[in-house]
Parts: sequence; C-alpha cells; structure tokens
Amino acid sequence: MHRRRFLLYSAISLSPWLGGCGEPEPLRVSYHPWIGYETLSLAGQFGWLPGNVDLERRHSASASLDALREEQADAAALTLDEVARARTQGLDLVVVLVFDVSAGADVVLADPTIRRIADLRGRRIGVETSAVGSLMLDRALEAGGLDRSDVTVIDLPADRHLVAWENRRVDALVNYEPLASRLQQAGMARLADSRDFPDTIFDVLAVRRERLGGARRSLHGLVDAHFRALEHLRISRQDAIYRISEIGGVGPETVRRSLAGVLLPDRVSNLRYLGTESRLVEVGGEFLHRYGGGKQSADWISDEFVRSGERNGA
Amino acid sequence: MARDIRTLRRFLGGMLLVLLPWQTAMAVAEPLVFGVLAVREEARTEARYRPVLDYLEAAVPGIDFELRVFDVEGIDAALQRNEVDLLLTTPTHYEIVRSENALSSVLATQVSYHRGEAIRSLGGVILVRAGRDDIAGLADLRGKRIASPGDCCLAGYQAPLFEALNAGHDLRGSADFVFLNGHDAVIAAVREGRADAGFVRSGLVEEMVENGELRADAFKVINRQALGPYPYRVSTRLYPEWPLVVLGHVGNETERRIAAALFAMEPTSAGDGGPAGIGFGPPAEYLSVERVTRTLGLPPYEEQDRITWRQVWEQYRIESIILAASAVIILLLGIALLLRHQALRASEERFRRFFQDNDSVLLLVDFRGGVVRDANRAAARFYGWPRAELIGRPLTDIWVDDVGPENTSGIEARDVHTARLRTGETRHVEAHATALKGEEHDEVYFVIVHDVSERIRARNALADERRRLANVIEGTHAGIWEWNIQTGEVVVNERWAEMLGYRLADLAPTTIDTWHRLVHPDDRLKAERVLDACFRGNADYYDVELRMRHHDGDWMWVVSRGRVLEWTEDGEPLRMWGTQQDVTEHKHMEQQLQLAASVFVHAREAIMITDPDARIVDVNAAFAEMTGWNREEVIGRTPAFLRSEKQDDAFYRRLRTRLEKDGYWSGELWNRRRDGTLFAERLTISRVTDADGQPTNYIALASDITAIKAYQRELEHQASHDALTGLPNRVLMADRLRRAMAETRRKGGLLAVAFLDLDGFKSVNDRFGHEMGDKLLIEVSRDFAAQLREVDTLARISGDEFVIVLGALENEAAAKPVIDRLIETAARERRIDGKPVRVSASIGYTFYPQDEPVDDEDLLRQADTAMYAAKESGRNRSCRYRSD
Repeated sequence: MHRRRFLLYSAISLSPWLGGCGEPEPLRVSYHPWIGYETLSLAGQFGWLPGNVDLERRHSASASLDALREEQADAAALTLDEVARARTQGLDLVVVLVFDVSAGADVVLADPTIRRIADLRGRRIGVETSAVGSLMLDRALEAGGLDRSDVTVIDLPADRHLVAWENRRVDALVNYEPLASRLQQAGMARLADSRDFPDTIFDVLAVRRERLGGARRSLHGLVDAHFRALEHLRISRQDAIYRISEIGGVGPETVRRSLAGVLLPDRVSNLRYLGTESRLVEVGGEFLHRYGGGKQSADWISDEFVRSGERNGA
Repeated sequence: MARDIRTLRRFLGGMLLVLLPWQTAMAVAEPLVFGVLAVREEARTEARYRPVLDYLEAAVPGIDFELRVFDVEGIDAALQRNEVDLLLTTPTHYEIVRSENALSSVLATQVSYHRGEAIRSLGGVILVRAGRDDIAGLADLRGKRIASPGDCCLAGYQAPLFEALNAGHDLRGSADFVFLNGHDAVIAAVREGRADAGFVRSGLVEEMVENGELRADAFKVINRQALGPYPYRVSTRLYPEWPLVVLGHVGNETERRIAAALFAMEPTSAGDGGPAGIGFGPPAEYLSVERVTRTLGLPPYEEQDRITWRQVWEQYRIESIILAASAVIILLLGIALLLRHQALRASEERFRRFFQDNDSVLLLVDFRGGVVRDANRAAARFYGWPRAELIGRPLTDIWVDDVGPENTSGIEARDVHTARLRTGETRHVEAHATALKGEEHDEVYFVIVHDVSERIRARNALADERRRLANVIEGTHAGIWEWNIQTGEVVVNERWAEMLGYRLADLAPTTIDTWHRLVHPDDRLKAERVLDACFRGNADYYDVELRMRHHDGDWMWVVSRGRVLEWTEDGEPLRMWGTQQDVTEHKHMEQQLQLAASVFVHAREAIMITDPDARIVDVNAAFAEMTGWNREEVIGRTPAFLRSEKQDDAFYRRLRTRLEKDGYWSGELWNRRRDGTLFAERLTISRVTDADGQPTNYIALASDITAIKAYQRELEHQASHDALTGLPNRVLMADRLRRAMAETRRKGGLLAVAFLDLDGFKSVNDRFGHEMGDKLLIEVSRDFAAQLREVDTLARISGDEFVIVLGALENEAAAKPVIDRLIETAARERRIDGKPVRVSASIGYTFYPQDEPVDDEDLLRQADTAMYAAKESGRNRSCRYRSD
C-alpha cells in the first residue's frame, strides 16, 4: 500500500516535466497599437508564442492599464512612466523587457509660427494626459523653461488630435507616429521630439508580480518570441513591414517612418537597460518619485527573463 | 546540383583568381554579359530586360553589354564556363553562385513596379486548382504530387517548403515532387491535373490573369499570408527580390558606374500587356534566404556525410541531455540499490536485537496457521512458557478470545482481549498487530501485547470518580463554571444556564463577556474587586453575592463561589472553577430581616422582646434610654423590675389575662426607672406565634409619655381654673357644688352658696390700670382663701365676681362668721405697688337643701339675687336670699 502511494506521489511530482512545458494558467498579455509592440503581433502570427500566452490587442494604453487593474490581464506593454504611475496607485508591476526606446517617434508638434518651446507660454496644448504624452509634455516644457501652469493643457485622446488641429482648437499637440506624420502633412511643425530627450521614453513589458512565480516558463517563452520576431524584423524587413502594415492598418511608408523613430534593443542591450544603475532604472526611480510613491520596493525592474534563455522545447 | 564536379569548379575558381588581373584588362574590350534567369519563356524574359540593357549601353559609355537569357540548367553551364559577368537570378541560386565564386557580390536588388508601386519583395505561391476542396492548407499537401520549377528556386521550391516545415510538415518526405522546366510548365501541370499543387513565384498568376492567359478563378492560393498592401497573393513570408550579382572579374570602377547608372534608371514601363516594370535599388539583406536554405539543408548548406559529435549535439541537444541524465540516474540507482542491500542487512540485525531485548511482549504471529512464529523473552516471561515452547504454540493456548488481524490492528485497540498464561490465569490485554510482509497471502503479523488490567482498573476508578462528581453536582443542583482567565473562555453546565432561565445552547459560546452581560452593573465592581484579590493571592476564595439578569428580565440573586486552581508559569491566574447557587429567596428574607433589625435598632420607641415565659431576649437602645437599664443587665430577667406601685396587682393580672386572650394589650402605666424616677409609659404588647400557633415571643413597644401626661394635667388644670388667680373657674366650681350637694344629701348637714362681688373694682382698674387691678385680685383671692376651710370652694367666675361654697355646715348660723370675715377681708386697706387701694365686697348667699327641690343653677341664681340686694342696700355687706 505504501509503495503504491509512493509511486503515485512520485508520478505526480514528475508530471510537470513529463507533461511537457504547459503551465496550467494562461498568461494574458495586453498591448495596444504601437510600432515597438508589433513584435508581439509577429510572434503571434508565426506561432512563436508559448501555448498558454493569450495576446489581447486593446485600443490604448489606458485600456491595457484598466485590464491590469481589473485582473483581465496579467501583463501589459506600457511606457515606463505609465508603469511607475500604476505602481504608485497600488498596482504591483514588474518590468521584465524593454521593447524599444523612443528616439523621435514621440513628438511635440506646433503651429509653424511657434519657433521655440518657450513661445508656448499661454498657448493651448492638446495631449493624451493619461499616457506617454504627458511625460513628453513635461519634459518639453522643462526644456523650454516652462511648467504646466504657464500653458493651457487640454486632455485629448490621440484619435481627436487631427480634428482639433484642423479646427485650430489647439496651438500644439503632443503625440506619436504615425499620427505625427499625418499632422505634419496637415501643416504642423515639429517643435521637439524624443530625440531631444534620449533614454527617457522606454516602452516595456510589465507583469503583475503575483503572476511572476507561476508563469516563469511562459514569460521566458514570450521574451524569446519577442527577440525572434525582432530578428525577423531585422533580416526580413520587407516581410515584417508588410505584415505590420496589414495588422496596424497603415501604409508601409508609415511603418517605415515609425521604425525610424525608435531604437530596438537586442538581448544584450536589454540586459544593460534592466540591470542595476542603468539609465532606465534611474529614470524609473524619478517617475516613482514624481508620482508620489516614495518608498516603493526597489525590485520592480528585473533582467531575469532577458537572460539568454532556455530555448525550451515547450 | 552537380556535386561531383564541385572540386572542378573550385579549381576553376582558383584559376580565375590567378587570372583575375588579366581578365580585368581584357574585360574592357569584351562586352559584359548580363545574364538573366528565365522564369517564363526565354523570349518573354528577353523582351522584358531589353530596355534595361539599352539603358545601360547608353548610360555607361565605353562598355558594351550583352543580354543572355538562361534556363536553370543553362545558367549553371554558363557560370562554369565563366561566361557571365552580371547575373540576375533567384536569391537561392545566388547563394550557390556565391559559394562557388567567392568574389561574387550583390551589386543591386531588382525592384519591380506594378501600377506605379515599387515592390522589393517576393514570395512563394502554392497553387491548387480551384475546386480542389480536399486541399485547404499545408497539412493537406502531404501525400500529394507537387510540381515545382526546380529545387534551386526560392519562390518555386524552398520558400513554400520552409513554410510547410515550420508548420510541422516536411513535404520532402511526405509529398511527391515533380520538377518541371519553368513556371509555365508548373501552371500547366496543375491546371491539367497532372499535379495536385504547384509552387510558383509571386505575381506570376496576377500577370497571367492580366494578360488573359489565365482565368482569375482558375486557381486558389493556399496558406495565404496577410501582408496588407503587398499587391500579390503569397503563401510564404516575403524575401528580397532578385539580386543583381556581379561576378568577381568586373572591376571596381566598372561596378560603380554600372551601379550608379542602374540606381538612376527610371523604371521601365510595363510592356503592352506585359510584365511589370523593372528598376534597381540598393542591395537588400539576403540573410533570411540563407536561413531558409540552411534549415532545409539544401546546397550550398547540404549536410555532410560524416556525422560529427558536434552536429549530433546541435541537432539532438535535448535528447542527448535526457540520455545523459538517464544514464546518470541509472548509475545512481545502482549505487542506491547496493546501499539499500547493506542497510537491509543492518536493519535485520537491528530488528533481531529490538525484538529480543525489548521489554514489551512481542510476538510474530501467523494468523492463518494459528501459531506463534516467534516470541521474545518478555513474551516468554509473560505467558510463562519458555521461548522454545512458546514458538510454534497454537494461538488458542495463549489467547482466549478469537483474535484475528481484523480486531487487533490500528492505533487504538477497540477491544480488550483475554490472554491465558501457562498457569491458567487470565489477564486483560490489548494487542496491536502490524503486517510484517505486507502481502495478503502471507499473514505474518508483528504483535505487541500490553497487560491492561491495571489500566482497566484505573479507568474504572476514574469512571467512578466522575460519576460521583456528577452526582454531587446533580445533588446540590449547583451551577458549575470554569473560567480560563487568559483566553476569557467560560464553560458552564446546564444548571448554571437554567438558573438564569436559559438553555445552555442559547448562551453558547460562553465567554467572560456572557457573564458581564448578565451581571448587575452595580455588583460587577464588587465582584471584580474580590476577583482581583484572588488573582493577587490576597484572597483564597472568591465568594460573592451578586445579581444576574434572568431571561425574563428580572434581577435574581446568586452566590458565586470559586477558586483559582491553575496558575501560569509567570504566576498569572490561568483557570478558575466555581459554583453558583440561586439565593434570591434567601436574599429577600435576608433583606427583610435586615429591615426588621434596622427598625429594632433605630426606632425611637423602646422595644423589648421576651420569650414565652416573659424572660427578656432583647431590648433596643431606646429602651435603655427610657428606663436607664442597658441590654446586658436585663437579658434573662422579666420586666417586673420596671413596675411601680402606681398600678396594683389587679392591673397586671388584668393585663396578663387580656394578653392571653387577645394576643395583645395596649395602655398606659407608670413605671420606675433605674434611678428610681417614675415615668409614664404608653405600652403595647403583642404575642408572636409560630406556624403552629404556639407563642414564641412577646414584643413590647413602649414610649415615655411622662411629659405628655404632665402637659395633659396642665391642660386640664387650665380648663378648670382661673388663669390669673389659680382659683377654680366656673366649670370646676359647678362640679364642686354638685358634688358638695350630693355629699350634703348623703351625709346630711347644710351647705351655703355665696356670690361675692367686689365693689369699686372697676374704678381701681380705671384709675390704676389693669395691671394693678390684676394684682389686687390676686391679693384679694389669697386673702379670701385664707379664710376658708378645706371643705370650702372659692371660685372666680368672672372679672370681679367670686362664688364660695361652704360645705359641711351644721346649721345656717355657722355660715355667718365666715361671710362676715370675708366682708372684713375685702374691705381692708391695701397698698399695691405703693399705692393705696380700697375695695369692698357685696355678698349674697343661700343655703341648701331647701324645702323646695333646687339644683345648682337655682342656688347660684339665688345667691346672685341676694348679692344684688346687698349691693343696693349700700354695699360692703352680705345679704341672705329671701324668696319674696
């Protein structure tokens, strides 16, 4: 009797390995249309994602954040400052991957008559305040020696920016590609962009801490899939551009332009960014402080999953 | 491809290397051959690229160009003969060219233009005739016949194959490939049904449809990729367009000029109904193509025959790891087995020792055979058989009950069995059996036997104790409580709850808060103080009377007694046990008694309690105050010491009679204090009987009414005497007169009634004032009184009028001298307050009895009339009443 029980127990204990790589619970990852996150779409298309990863494409960063809060998603693709803000609001997220660093793709556009940032004083600026635009705005204003009280900030979701400019309801807008190109075509001039604030806007993958333990394999698989898609983007650029064009519903030229405005770090760069005392950690700390979460746990940035992985057979 | 002549090619390539400088020199003169791999018929390809060559002729002066179109086989031959300088071919073919000709490189990448749109990528298309519903996806290609233009083609072979491989299907093993010459042949084969599917390059079908060579719905494309604005239907991912390869012997300068010219070239326009326009752009990245070829293991990356360990490792990494791990595990298991064997030996030895040397009675028993297989020394001692005889003995010899494994296994033996010793004596035992081998068919059990006689005895004794305790509790009908002071938990019995009108279940869970809720707030403090004393160790017992709220809402009295019997290690009280009794009745009685005692002590009336024999049992303080005797002095005595002679024995006799008859007596009497003084007492005595009617006590209530009595007398006196002179007033006088009349009637003799009026009194009043007048009256009264005897009465009946009753007269003549004296006295000269005052008296008198019956009123009237007569005759005289 006891032998049988022992065998049963040992069978049960071995089963995770015997049964393959499946972790029981699905890992739900939420993202929204942004050139840096399209590696996820590509990985999904080519079947490179682990079996239990569910990708959900939502329409904005806010939607992804809501999904996290309501526990409809376990991980989300967000900018670093969005993650920091969510942390100060009580959502314990951990950053595990850097998708891209914005270098030109986030812009401050303005009426062509406004030549310098300082000239924005007293003007109306449209921005999606819940998202990365807010950060861009603050940085740009800082650079011009202004702060929010010197300007009129109008909260506009990105899909209303074009209309707002056409009706001249704003003097300046803060947004990102590909919308930025469209607005430039409609007559706005580029006043500043994320190249002016290098290593500031990081787009990252943030995971709810409580899911970290149980979804290790899936996360490794997801990160591996991202880098595989990144390589595809590198070596089969045309193919990737067409695919992203189809997924995002924009033309290939726009895709190309968006790609031009971001830096896509590989594994080695990722390790650097996610390691201790990196620029990203520093900026992350600043964000936490700014949003009022002074004593948050230090370990919300982890390089565990970008370490060259088990290319596990799962 | 031709593997066997590869070495030859290498040699040739080496030769080329050596001959290069001369080649370059010669190249200037000879035209550069621009070779193009034909996708469709050569003529069509020729027509397509002619404009490019024309342009180059014009744009690069000094160099002649020659256009040559090859098919797949022809191109290889031309390359071998080194006849081609610039080559436009499929990327996979370029890989082979590159591998065979190290100096070749990509100068530009073709760009095709379709309706003005530049297309820099191509992909493979998997065609299936429309209507073939059995082929819907890559999986359906297994076992099918697939037409392809050649295994060196990217779009026509390698790309679709790669796509299928990625989806998990290696078509090389599972499909039947037929290689045809050119894409048109493939299309024909599929259309005519000679092949189930065909691999062609992207854009071909669209071109043929536009040309009218093909119906739009003739074919369906499977595994379509979603590539947005890419204008052609493809079944694979995209790869860069054809490279324009420049072979090593074209000089750098020439290369540059050609490249510059090509980049500057406007796209050729589409020929009439012809193919898309051509242009050239900077070289693309062909790494993706290399990946495909490598993965498929096709030339130039075909596998070598030798299998190196490295390759095995690369390919079968995971399998190798598992294999190695398995080997290690087996080795470890082998070692473990060996160690187990040794351990088993050691444990057997240990078992032997444990079994033998153990003090418990241990047996190895075969239940099926019903015999003892083995026994230890302790067993031998217990059963009384030597070991040798015990082993092999049937079980029935040593166990009385029918014992089998069913009723001896488990941690607690539910039954107690009876063992039989050699002597025949039986003992109560408990047996625990464990199967030794664990297999059903070999029922050898390891049995431990415990002599439980002692235990049973102890258990019975305990049960008795428990029963006794329960009976005591039942008998006393007491509520029981147990309180864990640290946790606040309280355990009570049913009676405790019932006392308060609850069921125990209603109060659960009981904690110290339950008690708090039910206790009267006023009593809680008291209880807590006593508890505190117990906790500190200042008091041994907790004994408190307190009120608790009954379920019905009333307060009832309970007495709660308990003691802390368990303390924590730090000396804090841990647990307390106690009882609770309903003392509501008692309390009420107690309260009543207290009230009575209070009354006894505090009453202003003297209270004396005696036994039935009138012996004093108790007196209160008021008694002592009234009589001057204190308690200790009177207890045990009868109240006789209080008697005064004011009451005679008859009085006391009457008192006793009344008391016995009615049970109570009330009245006044004079008693004597300790110091001898008399005092008047208002006294009430009551008899107290018990339930049977027997007298148990007498209770006497007394108050000192001496003062009242004196006051009474005072009042009486005032009622009958004149305030000023103290003489009897009219009322008393009338009474005295009547009495005197009665006396006279009885005894004989005479009495006289005289009415005296003071003459001139009024003028004294007027002249000297009323005060003087009063003083005069007092003096005159005194003087008059001095003239009279004991038996006479002098009364003042108004202002200056007096009545005198002379009693016990022998005859009428005896009255005269008295009356004359009275006249004399009244007329005397007086001095009052130094002033001379003079008055006189007029007296009228009459005698009694008379001939006619008269009453006192008559007499007074007569005397009055006589007085008036005296007054009118001149005053200062007396006059006898005459009836006429």
